[in-house]
Amino acid sequence: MSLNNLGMNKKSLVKNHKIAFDQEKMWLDINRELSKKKKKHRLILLFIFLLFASFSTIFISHYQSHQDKSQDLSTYSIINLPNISIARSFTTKTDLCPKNDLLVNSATPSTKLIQKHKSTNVIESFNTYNHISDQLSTTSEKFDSLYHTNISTNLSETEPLPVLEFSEFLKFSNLSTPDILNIQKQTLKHKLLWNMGIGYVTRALKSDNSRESAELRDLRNETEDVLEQISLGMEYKYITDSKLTYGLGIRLRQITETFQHKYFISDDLGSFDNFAMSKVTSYDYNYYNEYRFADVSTSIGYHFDLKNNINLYFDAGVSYTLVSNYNGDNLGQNLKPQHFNETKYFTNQVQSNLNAIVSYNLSKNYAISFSNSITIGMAGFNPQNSMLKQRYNIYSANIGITRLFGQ
Amino acid sequence: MRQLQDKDKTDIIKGCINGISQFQYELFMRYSESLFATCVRYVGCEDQAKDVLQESFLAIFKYIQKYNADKGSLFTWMNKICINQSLKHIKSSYTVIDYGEEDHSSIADANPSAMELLEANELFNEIIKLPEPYRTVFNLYEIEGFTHLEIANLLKIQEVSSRSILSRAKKLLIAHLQNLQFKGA
Repeated sequence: MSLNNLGMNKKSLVKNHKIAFDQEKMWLDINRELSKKKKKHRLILLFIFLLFASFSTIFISHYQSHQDKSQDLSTYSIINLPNISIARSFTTKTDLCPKNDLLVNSATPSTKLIQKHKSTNVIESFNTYNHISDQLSTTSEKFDSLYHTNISTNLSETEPLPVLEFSEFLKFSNLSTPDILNIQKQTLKHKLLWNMGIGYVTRALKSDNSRESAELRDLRNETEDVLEQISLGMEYKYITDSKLTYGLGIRLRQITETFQHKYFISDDLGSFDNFAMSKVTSYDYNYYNEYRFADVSTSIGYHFDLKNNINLYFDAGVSYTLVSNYNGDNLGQNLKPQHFNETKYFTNQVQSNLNAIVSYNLSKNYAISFSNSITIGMAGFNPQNSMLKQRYNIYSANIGITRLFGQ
Repeated sequence: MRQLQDKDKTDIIKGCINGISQFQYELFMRYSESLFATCVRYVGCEDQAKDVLQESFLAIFKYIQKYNADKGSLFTWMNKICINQSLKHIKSSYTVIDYGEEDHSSIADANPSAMELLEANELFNEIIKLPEPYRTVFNLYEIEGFTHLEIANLLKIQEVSSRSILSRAKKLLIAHLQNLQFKGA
């Protein structure tokens, strides 16, 4: 017996056979299920939107605050002018003061000066003596800052991410042909994802129990400020029939920090015509420090195939730092600025990653993706024998292109 | 089953892609009875077939944007989704047993006219009475026109097992039909 002896007509009749049932009742059930799913999708989309919005808000506000800061820095050269008069008036003041006072002032360690006199307070307090400064000859020197802003990493030069309009997605929308025999196999299982992103970084400096270490931590927290993280990554994802995803990737990151430190050192020059003379040297550091990392990551997650060619992935995993490089300045253990340029390999640093990715299929083989990532416990640069340990948490928003292939 | 006009069909598909309930209802009402029969034919039980049909329609509405009119009719596409869902439902009942080779020709020649004599309704009723996995393999091979290799891949069994199951299914079916003829006489 074969298909022929069954007869095409009979086969067709069997195939198109109808059985009556309570359609209305079933429709109510189906409609209820559809409403539930719609609600669920709306909530997911709302959640993603809120996540993006919150990241964008945090980043923009952070970015703007640093832009303001960079404007302050650019006008700093103007502010520096009265800084010369500070030095002059400081000398003048010491001239007028009794010797005891002078000794107290000049004997103050430079580190204490850093803590006590910072920024404009110093200028304001000493400007009151400006009128006296004209009457007396002074010896003062103003040292320019030893190093200047590293222009290559200036935040103001960071270009905003390209924005792709939603209408452009629609232009590209070319629905892929499904393999209707097996719905679950319709999703191409292999994905290669390239993305770049920008992120908001928080840093935690941990000191040991010693007083020196706590002092250094406080000073570093005062003088250093974490800016943004930029990253470039590539990830391979494999999607199983049960919608689980396994990922393996590599990511290059750069975290930028500012180091702003200003302090004065006063040197006693002895007395001249019964006036005590001192030389005041002003140091003004303004750096952009760069931390660079190359990580390999693994992840496991889940994939949701939403309507209208939209896919949603959630995954979690760990990444291992293969190479890290630090180039910049910060306060060393002697509480003075020190320059570092170090590269470390296989530092045994493991961090946790959480990702939420939304991708939109532009064609059968290409998709555009937006993702939010949280990286927790990323180890920062620690000089040898450092009393401090620094860790980063990174919240980043990424945009990327995905190549889909395989069956 | 009333065939949809092209214009109707396009509108309904577009409406379903946009998730408009009215069009989804229209699609459901037009095709559900035929698709229910497909589910019954595979699952063999109306109660379970209702669950399968419901799952199938949820899948249809979810994936309808992937339907390609160039590849076949809407009904064929939906029918395949129902088959797929039915197979998923009855998958647990499969056991991979090597049934071994059988002499198919002797069965085929035993009563070649028996199937011809049967009405489509009666044939349908006899098919759903077949036990698993005979019913599935018979449906896939004889009604849907799958090859043994395709069936083997789909059910994750050996190709030779598919052939054996089919021949046993036919044996059983012929036995039922002869029984029916005997009772009728």
